[in-house]
Amino acid sequence: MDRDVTLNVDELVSKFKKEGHFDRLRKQILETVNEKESGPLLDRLKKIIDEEMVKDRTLKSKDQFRAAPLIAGAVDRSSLYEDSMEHIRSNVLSDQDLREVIYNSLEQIGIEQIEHEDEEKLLNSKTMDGRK
Amino acid sequence: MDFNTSTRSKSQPVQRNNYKVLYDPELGIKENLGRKIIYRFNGVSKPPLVVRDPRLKNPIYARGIPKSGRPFLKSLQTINYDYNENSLGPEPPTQVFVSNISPLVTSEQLRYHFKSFGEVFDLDLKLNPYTGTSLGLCCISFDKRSSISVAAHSAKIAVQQANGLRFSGKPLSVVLDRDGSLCEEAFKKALNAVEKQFQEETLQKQRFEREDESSRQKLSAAMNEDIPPWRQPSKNSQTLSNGDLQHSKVQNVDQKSGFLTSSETDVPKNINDYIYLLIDDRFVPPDRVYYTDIKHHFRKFLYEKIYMNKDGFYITFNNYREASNCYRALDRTYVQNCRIKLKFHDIPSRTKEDGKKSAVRRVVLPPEEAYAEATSVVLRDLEAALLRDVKSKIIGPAIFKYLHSMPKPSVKEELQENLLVSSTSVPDVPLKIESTVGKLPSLPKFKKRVDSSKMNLSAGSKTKSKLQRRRRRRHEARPLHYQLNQMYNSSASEAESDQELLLSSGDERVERGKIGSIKSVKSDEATPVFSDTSDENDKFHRFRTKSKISKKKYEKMEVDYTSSSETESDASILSPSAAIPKSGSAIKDELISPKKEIDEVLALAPKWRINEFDETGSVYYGALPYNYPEDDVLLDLDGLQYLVKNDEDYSYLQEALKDEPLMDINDPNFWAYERKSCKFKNGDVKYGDTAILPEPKGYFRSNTSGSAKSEGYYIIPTTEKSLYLPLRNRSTIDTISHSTSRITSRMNRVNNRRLAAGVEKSQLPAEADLLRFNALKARKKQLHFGPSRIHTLGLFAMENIDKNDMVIEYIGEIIRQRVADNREKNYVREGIGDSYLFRIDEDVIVDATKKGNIARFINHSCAPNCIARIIRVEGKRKIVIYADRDIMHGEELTYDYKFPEEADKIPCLCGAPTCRGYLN
Repeated sequence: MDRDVTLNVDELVSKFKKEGHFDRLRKQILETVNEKESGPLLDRLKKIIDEEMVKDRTLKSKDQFRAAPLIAGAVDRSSLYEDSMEHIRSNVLSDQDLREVIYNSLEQIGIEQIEHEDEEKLLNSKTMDGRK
Repeated sequence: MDFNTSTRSKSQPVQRNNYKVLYDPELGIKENLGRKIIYRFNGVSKPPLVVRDPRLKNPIYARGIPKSGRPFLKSLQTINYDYNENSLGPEPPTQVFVSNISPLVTSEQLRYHFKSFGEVFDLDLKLNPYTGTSLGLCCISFDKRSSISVAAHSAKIAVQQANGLRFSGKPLSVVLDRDGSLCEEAFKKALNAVEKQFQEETLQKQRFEREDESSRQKLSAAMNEDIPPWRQPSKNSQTLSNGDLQHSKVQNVDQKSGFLTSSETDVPKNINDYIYLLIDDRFVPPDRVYYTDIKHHFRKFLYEKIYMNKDGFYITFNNYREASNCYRALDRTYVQNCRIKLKFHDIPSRTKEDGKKSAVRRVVLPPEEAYAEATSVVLRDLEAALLRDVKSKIIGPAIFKYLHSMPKPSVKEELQENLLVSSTSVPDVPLKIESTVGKLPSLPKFKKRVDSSKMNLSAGSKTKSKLQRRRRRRHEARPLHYQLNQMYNSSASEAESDQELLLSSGDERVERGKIGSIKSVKSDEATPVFSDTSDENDKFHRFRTKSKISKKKYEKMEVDYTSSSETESDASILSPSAAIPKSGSAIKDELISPKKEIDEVLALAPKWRINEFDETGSVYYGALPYNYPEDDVLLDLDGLQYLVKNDEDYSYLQEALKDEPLMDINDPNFWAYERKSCKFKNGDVKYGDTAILPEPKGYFRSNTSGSAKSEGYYIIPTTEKSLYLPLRNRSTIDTISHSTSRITSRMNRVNNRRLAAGVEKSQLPAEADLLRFNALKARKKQLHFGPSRIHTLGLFAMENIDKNDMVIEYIGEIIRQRVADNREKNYVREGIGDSYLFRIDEDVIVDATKKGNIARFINHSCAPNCIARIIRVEGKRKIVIYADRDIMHGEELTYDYKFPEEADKIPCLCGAPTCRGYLN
């Protein structure tokens, strides 16, 4: 019986997200990133902005709401995100604890699902019997 | 016999043949023709012979032999026999040769076009074998398998209709081509020309290449090993053209594919991953249904692509909905007379879910594996989410923070920068909202200074305000940072306007900003008004939002709160002294010296004014920023005395009149006295007083030339006429005789009935017919039409009509909307300006223009006495006019036309006190 049990990965993931685990983790990670990694990140950002200011002198005189998207675009073009994400990936996301947390919650969802399916099967079979 | 010969020999001038005796006296003498025989030779007679068709004598000849029922043929008919094996002579041509085709035209297009003449059997568009482009020559043969004559007929029609037809900008030339020899010849010719050109080109190229090569050889010896480059292009093109030739051959053989490359139409291997409709090959015989037909058949649906193989056609779709729609619409329809059956294929559910993500990943797994897989998926998603978060939550705010903390460039620097870039940068405005808000009793308004010239330009302020509203709405849908920007800007302008308010320098303002005018106005109304200017503004706003303000009024109001406060106060100080009536010789001391110059002004005053005004006297041509109170002043002596208040004014006056020639008046004082006493005697004004122009009462039309007589002939529109003609366009007459003993229609009927009963009782046998009483006639309301005060003709009641009584039915032709549109256009073209079209519903309209009854004469009124109802009588809808109130004898009948609102307004002339001004 147990061998036949299969689980749909996508369903698992969507359920995981639906139950709010994903957002919780996301916030948590963002916080940790903000604490640990933001220092060098912001330093680099400052450098990029300064460079951009030198490149385009009108930015200084521009309204900040107009200048901000321009700078954001410049940041996008730089390798800041790639580098920092690489860093974050290796430091934060590859954390074994995090993996375990996810795995455990997924397992729980999976078990619940299997139980649920079993119940349904039972119900179905019961009704079938009843009909007969 | 003898006698006959003797008479003939007697009068025998006839030696010639071919004659006819027109008149033979032997057969009966006619006095006026004499005794001589009249002949006609060779059909030429003295009175020229008029040949008439004897059949025309019979007017009903064309109907044929009486009672036979078969008409005569108008002309002889040729009989066409089908060409078959028994026919003589060569086969009729079934091929056409098309030349002068634009190189852009594909064979597909040609085929599609020529299919309209008949079944196309073969279409051979000649291609340039070197480049693969079209040579503009084509041989089209029509399908003669079933019937040669049909094919020949198609070819003939093709020549008739397609010859000279413009196809992609070039007129086609189509000729019959029996055996394709014409096409062959033309193709050879074209090919020769192409080859010649090609050879020339290659030669030239070779020459260039050779030169190039020689120079290169000089440069490096190593390059020598290369293949001579001039061979390269020719080789390339050769192979290419070969390929193309083959290709075109393939197409000609496989007609299904049309012009598409086989790779394009080949069914992909993973066809099962698509949503597609399959048309089985059984339904679409390849010789009858082509790829293009299928494409054409499905053109209305957003299919992705059409593939085909020996199983049939596969029409793939992007989404399920479109596919199912298509399936429902086109299943069991006909393509080229072939009924097609569609087979609907959906993506299997597994792949559907999987489609978005990696196709390699297995989805359904045993639990442990599934957990691991899911974990990695979650991690991947987390990473993506994190990147987004970092961007928006860390980097974004950091940029802003940095920009904010950055020292603002000094003004000088900024200026330099602006000079450098000359861009329209918006400097940050210091935020002063808190300070100003604290001081103000009312909420801040969002306004902006606007050129008065611009404001005056907007004739339809209503439409403009609508536009503004729309624009405002659009603002709200803009990206957030724009909106934020807007907010900051508006707060800045808000601060500006507040400052202005504090300075109480009232000026024209137009509301602007996201919050909208209504809100701000409301807040104004709610809060106590704190100064005169704001009150004025407030009123102004209310008027603006209502947008009903007339221009004249509007301008006057402007005047009220612009400069009047100063000038009027000045006037109040100065005018008493200036306006003291004095004896003619003694004019005020301070004005004695400028007297002379002022006199000169008088003669020239009108000219001076004309420049700024048009004939209505109210619209600027944009010369002045706004209206002055001085504009209402009559520029005579008193007026000028009133206007010129100090030395400064006087100096300006002098300046303005510098160029004017001096008038010869002896004693200025006496002249001035004469003028003033003359004015007084005319009774226009009190002595020496009232410099202000009298307000025109009632109807007033100002003429540019100053006099209506000098204007010449001009047409006064009816709307304007109604303003001063007392009886024009006044439908509502004063019902003077509200007699209590008025005979209503009901009483009328009752009386009639009584009369009829009485007649019957008296039993008069002879005049029974005469006295027969028509009850229906009595019920009909007595109406007549005549000249109306509203518009041309109108319908008038000839009896008293009770409220809710049926008055008349609106009768006319019942037509459809389409027809009505056409007719309306035609009527306008014919000069029938009035509309007699009455709409019953969206598609049914009653047209009483040409056929109808007098109900069509009923005019519109905004305060009608009738109402039009659409009622159902025996299942047919009728328009019936009912009386909406008691209508007196002689009153004109009116009802509300209820025209839909439109851009071009039709002025209403009903003259009712509640008139809306327009019909629509």
